[in-house]
Amino acid sequence: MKNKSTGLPGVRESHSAKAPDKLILAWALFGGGVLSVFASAWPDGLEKVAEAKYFTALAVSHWPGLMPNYAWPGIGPEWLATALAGLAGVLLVFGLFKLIELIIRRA
Amino acid sequence: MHLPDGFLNNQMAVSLIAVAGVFLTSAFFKLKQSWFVRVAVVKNKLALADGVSAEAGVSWRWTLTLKGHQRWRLMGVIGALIFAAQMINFPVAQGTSGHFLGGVLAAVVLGPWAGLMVIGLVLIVQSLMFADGGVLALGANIVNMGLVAAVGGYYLYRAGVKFIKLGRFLMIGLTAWLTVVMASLFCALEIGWSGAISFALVIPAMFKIHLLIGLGEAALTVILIKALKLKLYEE
Repeated sequence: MKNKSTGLPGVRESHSAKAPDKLILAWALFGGGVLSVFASAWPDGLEKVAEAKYFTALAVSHWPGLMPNYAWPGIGPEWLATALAGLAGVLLVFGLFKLIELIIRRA
Repeated sequence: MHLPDGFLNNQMAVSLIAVAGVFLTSAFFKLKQSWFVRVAVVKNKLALADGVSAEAGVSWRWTLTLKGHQRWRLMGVIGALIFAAQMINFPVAQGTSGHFLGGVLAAVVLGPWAGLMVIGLVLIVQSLMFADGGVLALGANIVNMGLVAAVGGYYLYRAGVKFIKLGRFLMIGLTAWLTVVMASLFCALEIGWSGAISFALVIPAMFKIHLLIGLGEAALTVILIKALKLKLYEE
């Protein structure tokens, strides 16, 4: 997956658009499926400000999402749930662009 | 910096949904115009670009140009990369983390409008699938992180390269840092205007912490572009 030097060294600047795209996608999958497990669990800037200034309680939820908190539902180990959700999200974003392309072609 | 529902009042949230909707739609049509062409399909076999007049058995359909195909593919993988990078929170101070936004990365690699589309789609997936960012607040999040950080960041970067004459990558880093602070200020203003909390409390707090988070954004933007050898967008 993350073996990024498999590309042919001499042809890096060629017009083949596919090789760099695959490399980017591979890194995205690595980030979403592996590095995401090591993400800091501390609240982010906005959440921290909301805590410090006492308006966290204003937050409401109109829609629970399919995988709240980036965790694949029903999976025991937390790291695995996160990794699966990360992989799913990466593939979903990538797939959404494919889908839009298909829809335009059909139209 | 994903606003949940409830921090903004309905007027604010709905107005920003309208703003985001208008910009996303026009971005989409801009891209469609430059990268898709209509070709004639004769009896579903032979395709001639714009050449054939209306004959029997001719139907028109959209397809991507060669360049369009490459750009669209790149949008998909950059979107996937930004989604992944946004998941990886890094600690910035005791008890506070930050995460990559990717607005400037998307815009300087893909151009402002493709960049906006990518950030918009990432935010939509995050909100609907992962409940990260409210559904009603989606417009606000697209405005802050897409319109302000990506489109705004792009033109800031262009102006910087033109007038300040700093190196490209120095300028990219600087813009990335600035856009995080700008987006956080927009976010703070929206919260303040909604009456959730006074401007005097929310603005300085958001500003201070995002000065730090922006440093991570600057470093990551430059590192990702260099490490993945991404080509910068040329107009």
